[in-house]
Amino acid sequence: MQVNIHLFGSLRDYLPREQRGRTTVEVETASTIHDVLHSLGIEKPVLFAVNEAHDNDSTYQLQAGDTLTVFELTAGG
Amino acid sequence: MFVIENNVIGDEKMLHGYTGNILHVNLTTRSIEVETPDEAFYRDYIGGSLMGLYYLWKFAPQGIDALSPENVLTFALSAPTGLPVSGQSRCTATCKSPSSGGAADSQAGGFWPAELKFAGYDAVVIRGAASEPVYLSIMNGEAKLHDAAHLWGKMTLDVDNILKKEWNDKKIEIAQIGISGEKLANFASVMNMSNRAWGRTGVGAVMGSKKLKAIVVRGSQRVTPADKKAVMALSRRGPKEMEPTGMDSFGKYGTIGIVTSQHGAGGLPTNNFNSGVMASLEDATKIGGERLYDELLRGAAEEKQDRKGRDTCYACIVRCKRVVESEYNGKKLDPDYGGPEYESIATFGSYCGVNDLHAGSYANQLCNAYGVDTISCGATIAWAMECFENGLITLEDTDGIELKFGNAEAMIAMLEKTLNREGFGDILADGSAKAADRLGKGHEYLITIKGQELPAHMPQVKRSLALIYAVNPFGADHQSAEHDPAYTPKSYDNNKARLAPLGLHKPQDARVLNAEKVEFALKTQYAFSAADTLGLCQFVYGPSWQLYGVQEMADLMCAATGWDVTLEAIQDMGKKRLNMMRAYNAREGLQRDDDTLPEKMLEKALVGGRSDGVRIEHEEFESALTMYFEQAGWDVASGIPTRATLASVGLEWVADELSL
Ligand code: SF4
Repeated sequence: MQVNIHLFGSLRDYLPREQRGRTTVEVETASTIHDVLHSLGIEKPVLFAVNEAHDNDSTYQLQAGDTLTVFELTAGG
Repeated sequence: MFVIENNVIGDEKMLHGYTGNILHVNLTTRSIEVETPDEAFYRDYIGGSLMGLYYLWKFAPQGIDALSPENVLTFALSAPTGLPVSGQSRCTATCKSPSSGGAADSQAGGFWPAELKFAGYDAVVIRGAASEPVYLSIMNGEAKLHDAAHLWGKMTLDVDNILKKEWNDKKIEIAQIGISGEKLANFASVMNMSNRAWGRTGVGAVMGSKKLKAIVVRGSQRVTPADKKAVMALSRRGPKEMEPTGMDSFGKYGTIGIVTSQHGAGGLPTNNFNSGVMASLEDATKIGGERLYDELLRGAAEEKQDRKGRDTCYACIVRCKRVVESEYNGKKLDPDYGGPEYESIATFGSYCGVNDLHAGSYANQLCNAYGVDTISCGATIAWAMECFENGLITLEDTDGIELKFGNAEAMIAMLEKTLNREGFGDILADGSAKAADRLGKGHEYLITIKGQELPAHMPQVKRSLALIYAVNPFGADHQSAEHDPAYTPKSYDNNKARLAPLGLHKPQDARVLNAEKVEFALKTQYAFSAADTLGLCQFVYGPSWQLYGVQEMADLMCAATGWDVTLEAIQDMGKKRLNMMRAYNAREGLQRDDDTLPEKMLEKALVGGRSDGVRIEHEEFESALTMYFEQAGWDVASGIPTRATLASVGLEWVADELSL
């Protein structure tokens, strides 16, 4: 199945520059958020949301067509 | 006029790091004198904010009007200023604040701070007021007052260009007030480079009340540290720390880079703090740092923005400042006015419900050109928008401007009126708290503490900020302590490792405000307070995510001065500055009753996103306040430092003067 990925801040560097943090990837059915982050190479703690809803944990199984947005943890600035 | 005879800073006969010279200018009498304090004074008052508070306490009589000639405005550096290492070119402006009636305190970077050191001084103390506009030049030790009639009423960049031409020197550095400072707007800033601001607490209004348009500095002396090798070793470590600390990303996207993650965390103040998220992630993305980087930074079209679109402060490798090439409604933006920081785009973006990056960038340019604090100014317009939405003010009041959330054109139109003090803008120019008083309504929508508008980090989702915003002596400030996400179980390991030597071993959820969190708030407040005393940028030096930690602050002070400075000594310097500021406020009549949160924040829950339904509880806040006073050694009932606490940081004389 396909899921949409939207990465922000320095996480964009996990994708080629021209993609500006956005891509659609093919993943196995029942893949979790953790699986997808791992496949992208993102191992550090991050903040994420699925379809702009925020109550999922990383074991949540993504559905076809979902959009996973991933943010860095930021403190101040 | 005074010329320093020994034209070398920090040689064998003098202090290391410091110049040993404090410039005193009395604008009423036009006298200029140089004080050469002994080493004991520097050990006691270090520099920056602490040194400024010393002169404020000593020279400004109790109970003065902040805009009277009796106010004392100090620009103070510290020992590391001007050394070839990142994050040291920072200067504190201190005076009595026109908005809070307590201490005003604001920091700016750029090149001006280092250049003042090169010109021969550790601080400039300004008293009195000129009868006509003047500017002060400090050129290689020689200080002089000049007529400034030809500069009065001009935009900051025009003043920069005129002065550079007059002095026939492009390398002079200029700190100046803009038109808003001349007009005594309570949130007027002092600018340097026309894009770096001593923004908060109204220091520009105080400089304006003195009719001092600018301070021009230039010098060719260099600072001699006690241990040059140690300074260079610290400097060389900088590039190696960029990637592991994440400061490479911070430099790439700038402070504005956090807009999107703030939205993701439910902490992006929207519609005057009614919500922690914009209408959609797409809206936040439209005003985000990623977009600014991709589209608006100079050189973005050719993907050369890292070289052409980022600026820096003297000797800093982080290069976090934005240089924007853009236009708004057919008006071309001048890259010399810089680009928006996070705070500026949040206040002139989400705070006003606006998702227009070009409008936000233009607002930022206008604020820099007129010299006002983007935070207080943008937040004041957001407050007026909420009053308008609720019918408290009408089209008649606003001269026909449809001041609704989300209306970028109305936001810019009202900003222009505010900067020129025209019509309704004249009411807004002294900030939202005074505007509400003047109108006799709208108090329920205020987002202010001690008369100062809140920055764009939300205490609802970073709960220790509720405490820090309330107790901070100069009003709500986001650069006075570390933010909660640095101290959660999920926080990055390097953050936790830096916090551990401060005795902070028990990370907590970002939304709790318990005893551990109070301890985190106070101890990191000392660290930030120390940075403001040592004249250090808090993105480069700090207790968790910054390029260097508190230990490196100690190492830098050792290398600069040759003194034996430990991490504990750094924390004590921060404690001393905080206590002195709090004591000054007590002298001027501020107490625990002033340590409040905006009513709205305690009464209303946020709406939408990850922070939907979140509110700060009265009891939680009050109990944290009491714990904080106990931990800080302040009287719980009054919030005033006790004699024992003042004595513990060498301020017995302050306790004596307060009759404690
Ligand atoms: S981190 Fe940014 S603001 Fe701080 S000194 Fe460096 S360039 Fe200036």
